[in-house]
Amino acid sequence: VRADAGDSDEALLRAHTAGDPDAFGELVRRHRDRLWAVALRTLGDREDAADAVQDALLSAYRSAGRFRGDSAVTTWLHRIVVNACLDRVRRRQARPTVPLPETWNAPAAPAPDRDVALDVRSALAQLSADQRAALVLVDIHGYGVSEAAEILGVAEGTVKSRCARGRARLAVMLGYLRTGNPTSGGRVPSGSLPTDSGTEDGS
Amino acid sequence: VTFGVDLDRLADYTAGLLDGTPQADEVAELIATRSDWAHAYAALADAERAVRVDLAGLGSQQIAMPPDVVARLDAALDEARARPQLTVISGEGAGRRTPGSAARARRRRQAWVAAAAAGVLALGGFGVTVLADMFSGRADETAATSGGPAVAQRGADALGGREPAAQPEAADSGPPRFTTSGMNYWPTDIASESFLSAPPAGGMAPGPSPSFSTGRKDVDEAQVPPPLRGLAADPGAMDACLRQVAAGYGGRPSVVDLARFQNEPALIIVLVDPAGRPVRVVVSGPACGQPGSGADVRFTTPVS
Repeated sequence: VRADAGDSDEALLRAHTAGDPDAFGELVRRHRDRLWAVALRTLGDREDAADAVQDALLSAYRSAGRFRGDSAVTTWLHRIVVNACLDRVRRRQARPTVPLPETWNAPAAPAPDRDVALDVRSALAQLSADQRAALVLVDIHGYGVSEAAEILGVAEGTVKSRCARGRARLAVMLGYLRTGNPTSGGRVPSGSLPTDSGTEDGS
Repeated sequence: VTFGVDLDRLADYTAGLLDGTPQADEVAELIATRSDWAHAYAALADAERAVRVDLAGLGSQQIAMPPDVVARLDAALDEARARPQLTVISGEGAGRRTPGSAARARRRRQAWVAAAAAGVLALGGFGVTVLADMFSGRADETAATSGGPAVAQRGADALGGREPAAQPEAADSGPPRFTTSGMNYWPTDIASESFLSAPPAGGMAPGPSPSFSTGRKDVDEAQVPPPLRGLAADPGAMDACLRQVAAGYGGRPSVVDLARFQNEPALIIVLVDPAGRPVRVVVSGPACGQPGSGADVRFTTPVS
């Protein structure tokens, strides 16, 4: 049985496990851009993202026989890719950090001349990998909390907590929550941010 | 935290994640009594909304996989197609190609399917005599070293086709086989029904496989977690480790994957009964076999 481009993801995966040499390639072609975007935004580094996606899709290629249809194929692929990204981050063990405010003032509008996208990307890069992955899935790519939880392999409450905490930190870094430090408003500051505290289990 | 407002707590509170807990009352009290908390709380909702808008803006920018990454990925998948997985069959299937789907299904339940075509070694004591070659990139050139019957086989192309085939001479009574799958295992993976019926190198979490050479500079380094290298390079230490594991749970170590478990370096050890049937999986840490550490067990589960 040979699959064609009109087949569903599930049919393509079945065809692959049944021996169709082209089915997995079609599945990859169908989803690679989205998987790439998730990997790139999670890792923030092109080469790392390329390695992670390649590792993940090779792993998926070989383990396709164990896909039991408990989730959508695309969820399964995203899960493998995101896990590859997080594994890579943990191996890298290097996370730039920023300072947290000593006091809080009223919110301030961001500086008008800043490059918003660049600032957001820079700020995202300074979050913990877990918070960043949750925000990439939920706020950037629009996944629901439930599907993001499935992709990340954590409870929905954990995803909510990671998103809430990540957004709060981004709000500080992007100047939406301004501190008493006059140099930090509207820009991503440098320095050290306390590592994540609490359980984030949010269950 | 050392600053005035615990941002994480406040974020959880604002998101409703503390509802119904004592922590919610504590945060409410802080907001009611401290100006810094009150200001932060008042500002956070609007700030969060602004952040969501920014993030959604990023998401609206379409990102396509660059052509060079596409080409590289296609090449890797082509190579995977051209190099089918090797299968190491324990038990009755050893040394034979499985003849039909029913028999194959039965045997798959009894087999550790090791896709590490280039990374299978047979070692003495429990078989432990040499591991160092695994780390010098010469594992695919290393045959059995202590009279063990398993062999290292270069590539899988000769087997032809996509159907996994039994690796010749893999026997149940021999020494353990060592693999470096690059995997990061989790308890649910190891406890799953499919754990022993699928290739570790293609398995439960992504990781590079020693059966592929895709030109990536980090593959060798990633395959074996550094904390395991000392243990793996010392046959006596590895032998002591496996003896501790066997003494604790019975059975004979059949396959040892030098990999990771829940992101920590670990040995994934499959114990088999005298008939060669897998009976238990034991996950041991790098201190396995060291005086006072026993088997340094991190996780274990019987194989049903």
